[in-house]
Amino acid sequence: MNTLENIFRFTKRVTPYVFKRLLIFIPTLLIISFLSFLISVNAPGDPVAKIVTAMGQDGTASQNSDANEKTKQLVRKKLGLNKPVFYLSLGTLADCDTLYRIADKNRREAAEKLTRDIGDWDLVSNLHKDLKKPIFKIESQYPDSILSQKERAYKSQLVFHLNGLKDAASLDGLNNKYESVKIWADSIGGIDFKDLRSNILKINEGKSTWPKYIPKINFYGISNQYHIWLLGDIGLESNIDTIKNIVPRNGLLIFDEFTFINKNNNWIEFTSNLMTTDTIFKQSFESIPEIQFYNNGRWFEFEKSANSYNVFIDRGRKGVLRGDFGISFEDGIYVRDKIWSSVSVSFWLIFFSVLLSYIVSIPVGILSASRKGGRFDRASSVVLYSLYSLPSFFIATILLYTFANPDFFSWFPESGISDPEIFNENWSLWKKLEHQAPFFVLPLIAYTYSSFAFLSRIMRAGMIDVIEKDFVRTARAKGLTERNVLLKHVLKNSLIPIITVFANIFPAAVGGSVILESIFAIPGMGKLGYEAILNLDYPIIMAVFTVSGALTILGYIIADILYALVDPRISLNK
Amino acid sequence: MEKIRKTEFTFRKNSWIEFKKNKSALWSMYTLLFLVLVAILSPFIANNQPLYLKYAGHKFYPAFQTLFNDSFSSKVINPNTGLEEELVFKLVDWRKLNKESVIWPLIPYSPEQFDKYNTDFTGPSDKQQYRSNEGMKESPWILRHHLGTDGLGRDVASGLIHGTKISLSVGILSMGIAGFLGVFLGALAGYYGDTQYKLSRLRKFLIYTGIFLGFYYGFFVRSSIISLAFTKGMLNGFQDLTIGLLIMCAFILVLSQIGKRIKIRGFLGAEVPLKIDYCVSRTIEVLNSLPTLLLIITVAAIMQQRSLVMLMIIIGLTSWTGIARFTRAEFLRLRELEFIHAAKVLGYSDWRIIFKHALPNGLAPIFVSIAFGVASAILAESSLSFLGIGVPEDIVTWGSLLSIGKEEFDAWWLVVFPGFAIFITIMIYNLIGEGLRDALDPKHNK
Repeated sequence: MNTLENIFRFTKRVTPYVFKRLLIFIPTLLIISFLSFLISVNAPGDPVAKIVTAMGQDGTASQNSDANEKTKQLVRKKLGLNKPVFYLSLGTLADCDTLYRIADKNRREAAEKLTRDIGDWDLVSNLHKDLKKPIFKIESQYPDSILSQKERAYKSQLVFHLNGLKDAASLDGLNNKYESVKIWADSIGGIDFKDLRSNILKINEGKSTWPKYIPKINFYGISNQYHIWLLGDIGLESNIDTIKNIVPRNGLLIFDEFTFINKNNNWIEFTSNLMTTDTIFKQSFESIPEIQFYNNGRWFEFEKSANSYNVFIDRGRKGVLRGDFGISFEDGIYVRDKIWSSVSVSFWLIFFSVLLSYIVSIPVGILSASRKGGRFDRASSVVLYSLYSLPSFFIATILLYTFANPDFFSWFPESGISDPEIFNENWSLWKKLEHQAPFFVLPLIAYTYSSFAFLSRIMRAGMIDVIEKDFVRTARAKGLTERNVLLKHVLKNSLIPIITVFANIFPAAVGGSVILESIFAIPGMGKLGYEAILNLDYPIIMAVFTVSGALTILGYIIADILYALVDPRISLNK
Repeated sequence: MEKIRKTEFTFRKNSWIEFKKNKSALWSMYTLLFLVLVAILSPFIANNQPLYLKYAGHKFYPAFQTLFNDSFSSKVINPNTGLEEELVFKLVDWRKLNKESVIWPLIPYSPEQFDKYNTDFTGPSDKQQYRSNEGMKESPWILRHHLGTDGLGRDVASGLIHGTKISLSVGILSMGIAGFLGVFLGALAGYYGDTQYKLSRLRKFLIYTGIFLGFYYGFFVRSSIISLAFTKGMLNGFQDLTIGLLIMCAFILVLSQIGKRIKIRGFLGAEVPLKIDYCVSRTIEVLNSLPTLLLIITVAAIMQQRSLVMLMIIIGLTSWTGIARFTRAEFLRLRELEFIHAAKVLGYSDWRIIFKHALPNGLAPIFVSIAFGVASAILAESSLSFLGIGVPEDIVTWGSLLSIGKEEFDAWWLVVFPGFAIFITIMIYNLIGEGLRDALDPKHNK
């Protein structure tokens, strides 16, 4: 009865505090998510360009070609990057508010800089639009058939430089580029681009510096990347209309959009205006019960009904707040699934290492505190201090050198968490454990040793602090055995500091896992995040930051509850 | 009177006496001084340029002369041919010259120099060769790579010695930034809290406007100028960044002063508190909730140019939270004490009370956390160079040596020596921090 009452009292004491913390937790999480979003979007390099390159459609020659531009546009659409980034954006009066529509990131940035330099978007826009005319003129006046080898090279240079005008980032740069265009134009026979000349002239005359000094805020409404990432489709119309085009028309399937169809994870790409007859389509997909494709940053399911293919299910975007982190750019897998598997690996590793270090460090702390200044205390403090200062990647490398080295001790496997050649998902839990245990030994040591040293030192300090208190002297004076004094009176009171650091150990472990996981090739969250940063996989980066932020705050709350549990004097509702 | 002054008991003196009692902390201090010396003298300890050399009747000091000028050159008359030739110091093979006398540094290799005769992970005890006038020979003691080489033939000992400079400067600069930010924000948050700093609504609004306009004219409009400056060189970039910061400060100050001068009644004139503590605490919470190393990796990846200074700044900007928390707690305690109340009654400005009265009394825990912070900054830098992020590829650091060693299982010297160097440095900073904590804690003296 007594314990029940205690629990009831405790709950009553703690619950309002937990609610309060959770309330603060929400804005913090929103800020974290916004920060991680901001960081990802501003990262250099362009995921779109990366994917296009990986598709093998990007060569140096086709860098500026129209086809490449179009591919980029389509990939952007596929990833859902074709929308404005945020609800609003800060710009100058000179800026164009629909600049986000330019597919190429470098070109977009160049256009923005040029616009600010010139002060008028219309002039830049006219220049960009009219660039097609000179290229058309060259093609019509000088087709490849009438040109010699040398002239053909000149022509391609001229086209290259004409396209390069779009990459000019300042007025001077534009003028320089125009000069080189003129030189190449002379080499091919003095072709005169009237529109281009007048555009450049207009730009040079119409230049004004003042518009860039006047701030302007552009509003984009809720159809933006952040909104979709955070809240999903709330308030947005479904994008189903882009799909209608795949409905068979007169026995023909016409792909107006650039669609990617995932057939057992092998990408089948249908580029725009690709036509395929219903029968071919049927033949290719006869064996597959489910066809999915990926557009606008979301998955669509393509379901066969009795005799047509026109049932499309938009799986929609639920948004982070409802547990949907979107789709990984790299392989089209749901971020949720990727994160979940890696979080569980990291979590269990960290959990066991923290548990292990608590189990070891509490006795060590008690022992060294009970004989302060004794031989054990001195020896252990030297060892612990050294352990605490040893960098984990150094220890991990040494461990690999010694215990996973074919030339030395080959006791443990070198990397990974299972041997993919033998491992079977259907094994019993015991067999899985037996197979995987050797893989976890070295990582666990590397994870554990430093927090063990840290905790032992804190435990020792806490014990020593309490041992000097009056109530301990009283207990001793009563004639209690030293064992009883230490374990019953001192221990409980000295647990407070060691519990409070629980909140600090957890985030440190998440951060530290970046290095250890990449050394031991453990597919955990640190490695996932690290690789996502290198691969510009925005949805994964954002998810890793948000999830680890949430876990950390959870760690703080748990530590506070434990704190209250150990020390009833502590009031949580200040 | 004279006698009393001699035995005068000050906090500082007492702390130093206490610190000296702690033998391990004292020895760490000496080791640190030694490391600082090594870092400062590194170009004269490990260099492929001789310290002193006499050639064709001229005296040269190549290690000194090439210190600040990479393309230093001198015209001499070749004693063999009698022709005038130009010696470009960095390119000359001093060993082949027919010199009269020479003094080499202790380690006659530069960290980035490839020794083409001892490539492919030559160990400290392996056979090492050099090219003499009579052909390939076993290296004499002075020319040996005592700690081995890496795959390209770079001397590990030289890399370690020059790495000291990098590690120590990372610690100092990043903690300098973190210390400044942490103390400043923590002091403001702790002293003013959420209610103490009051200003009229108009002034608050004007300050916000100042922040916005300052950001706009200082950074947003100038963003292309700043990024262009960074491509020219780090120094140019920082210069333009500082100009941006100054513009921003000027906007905030001017608008804030205008707000102070305008006295109006009504809604806009009403005094409202500025929630400094809330803002600082939330910022700390958010930064603490993000995994620091991932954050640093991400920000380091955003910076297109790899540079050590940039890395130090990033580490500094992400690690001020601990110091700010300590400072805030200290100021929360101090602001209730009598001498602060007295200073307020005397009409001193807040600025003076915070930085002249309160701060010197609250510095002790801040120093301790800075000492520990240096250790973790060095750890962060070596972790990043271990992963190969942020640090320029051609610069040899302890972490980068270790990462080469990780790939090559036979080259134990590439793991053990740099690892040990990192370990010792972190250890001494931790021990100094510990010693400071014990020495500055008044409870400890009992």
